[in-house]
Amino acid sequence: MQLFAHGGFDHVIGTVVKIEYRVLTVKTAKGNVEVKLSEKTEITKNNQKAEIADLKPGTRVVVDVPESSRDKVAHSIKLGVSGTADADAQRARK
Amino acid sequence: MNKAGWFLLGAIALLVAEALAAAIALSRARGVSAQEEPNGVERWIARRARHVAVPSGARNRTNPVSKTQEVLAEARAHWADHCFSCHANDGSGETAMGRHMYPQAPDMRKPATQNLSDGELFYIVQNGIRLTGMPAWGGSDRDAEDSWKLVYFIRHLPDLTLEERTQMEKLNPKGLEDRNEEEEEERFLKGESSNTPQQHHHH
Repeated sequence: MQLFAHGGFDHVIGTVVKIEYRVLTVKTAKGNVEVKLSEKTEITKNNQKAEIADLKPGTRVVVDVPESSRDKVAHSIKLGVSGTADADAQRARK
Repeated sequence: MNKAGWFLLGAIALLVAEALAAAIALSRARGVSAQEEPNGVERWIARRARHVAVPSGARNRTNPVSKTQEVLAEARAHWADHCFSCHANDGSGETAMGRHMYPQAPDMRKPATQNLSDGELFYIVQNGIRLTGMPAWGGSDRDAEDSWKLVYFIRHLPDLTLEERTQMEKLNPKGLEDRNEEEEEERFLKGESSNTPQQHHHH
């Protein structure tokens, strides 16, 4: 899993690839990572509540998954701006 | 002693011996590992023991501190600094420490905690709970006042807002490395960093 780990959570960092059947696929620096969503998964953007519908492809996310979690159910998901790191890098080069 | 008395005594001795044998077998099988969760029986016995152990006078005490917004804010900050590591800001116990204790830190938003009286909550904060990770925070008059304020905050946990939790995150005790990682994540989310952060893993 591509991650930071602090506060008891692994942090999956990347951009949304897709979400299907409550399984979120995140493109990280080391490949795609899948995490599950549950009813308890909290989704926020700018410290405001957000919805599953806001998890659009290309959106930057930081997903907190309890450390050593076997089923990889997301505890919380923070949403950021849209746009992949690759796209940003291309914009920066122009 | 008559025959019935001897029979009863023998039956009790047999039960005690069986319970001891079962306890020894269980402890040998599981050792002193804190990896597993307490089973339902252990949990029930522990809660009953805790209930009995709190003196009735303490259980019936009422909160002597006036409830104001300032008191709540103070208790929230206190919790974020002292209690977060095991109980999490929202009282869920979803932290590395809380999850790996034996027993695990409880979800304090649930009835098992919220149904305790103010006096019981205060007593537990002040005196801790033996054979768990809950330390005793009492000692001085100032500690007692802080503990009563925390009782108000514990009551507020089920209604904690996202805004309050966000404020608390800034007060949580964290190391420099954690702070740096959080800042890097924030920059990434805001689009200020074009690179997806690289892998870090530590406890």
